[in-house]
Amino acid sequence: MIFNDDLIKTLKDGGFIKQKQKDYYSIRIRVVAGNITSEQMRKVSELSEKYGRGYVTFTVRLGIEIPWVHYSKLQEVKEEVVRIGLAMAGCGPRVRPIVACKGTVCPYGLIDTQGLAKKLDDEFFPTPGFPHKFKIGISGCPNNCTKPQFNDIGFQGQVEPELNEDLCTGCGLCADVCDVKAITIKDNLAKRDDDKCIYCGSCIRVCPMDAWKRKRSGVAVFVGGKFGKKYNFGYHIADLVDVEKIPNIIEKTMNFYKSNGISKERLYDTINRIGLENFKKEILEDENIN
Amino acid sequence: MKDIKADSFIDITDVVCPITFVKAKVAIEELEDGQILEVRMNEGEPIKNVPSSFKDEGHKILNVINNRDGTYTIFVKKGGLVNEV
Repeated sequence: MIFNDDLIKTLKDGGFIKQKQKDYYSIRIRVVAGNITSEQMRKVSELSEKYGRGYVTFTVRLGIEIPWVHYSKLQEVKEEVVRIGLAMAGCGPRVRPIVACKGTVCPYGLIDTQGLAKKLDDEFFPTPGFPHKFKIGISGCPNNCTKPQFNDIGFQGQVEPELNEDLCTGCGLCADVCDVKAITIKDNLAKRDDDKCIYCGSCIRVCPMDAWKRKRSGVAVFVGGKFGKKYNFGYHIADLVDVEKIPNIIEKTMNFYKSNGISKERLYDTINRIGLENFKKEILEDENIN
Repeated sequence: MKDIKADSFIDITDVVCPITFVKAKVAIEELEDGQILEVRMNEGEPIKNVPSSFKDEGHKILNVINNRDGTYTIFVKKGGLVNEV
């Protein structure tokens, strides 16, 4: 078999990673934030036996790869992947699979990370047309397990605590567990320093009297993060942003990147060239954010 | 507050997460509603999670004492949150 036009078109759609071994490809399957039904999982297993070498590997962005597929079978595998309700994961200059932690069920989770990932995947995956790749990451709390700061745009769940002074006994447990020492006890009352607070909600979780309550939830927004040979933490541009505003912020960021970015440039470099303040003005304006 | 009398005591300083709460949970299950369990635990991860897990399961934390030796003692009333509401 030769590389005919159909095969070349299939390859261009993405999700086929050339192996260093001649004629073999690894098939990359997109799985939204690592969630796959057991039925689909069984079928992916079968595909790996039928076309690969009977094993699968998991990617850093929570996708699945079937290695050792011969190039003559690529179109066939793709059709089978689509038939079981999954999609190929793109490579190249487009939106990459969205990574989210298990915040929906994790005791520390402050937002519905899985629901958010699904919503953003529906809306934005795999939008093409960028100067380079575009990665979106979500962590449910400041524990930061999924490292949103290493994505072009990342979101981190937050909660702003509020004290009911009538219930506080000044036991000091919240001050003891606060990792950033934002709480002190004065006159048998807890006092929170908003400049130090990272909105993790430890005080709310631990308070024996339920004196600390959730005032509002939201997300911290990070932009321009990347890994690779030259890595950078994303700029921390906002706190406690309403989850409902996330799609709009992503869309504005994408538009900024598309219209200002030059070929092969990641968002981080575009922001630096245009200026962080200019970027913030364009993205956060009209959003009523902080 | 200072004179809370516990019906039972358990020390969970010898185990780590997730056994900490499992051990504490087994202890409170042996009590009747309204009875009080005294739990001694390490600072750090256990004090961050064990009291909140008790709350999640409907028990009321009556008091927390920092023993100033790297451990805490908490007093938990079984079903205290469920029955008060």
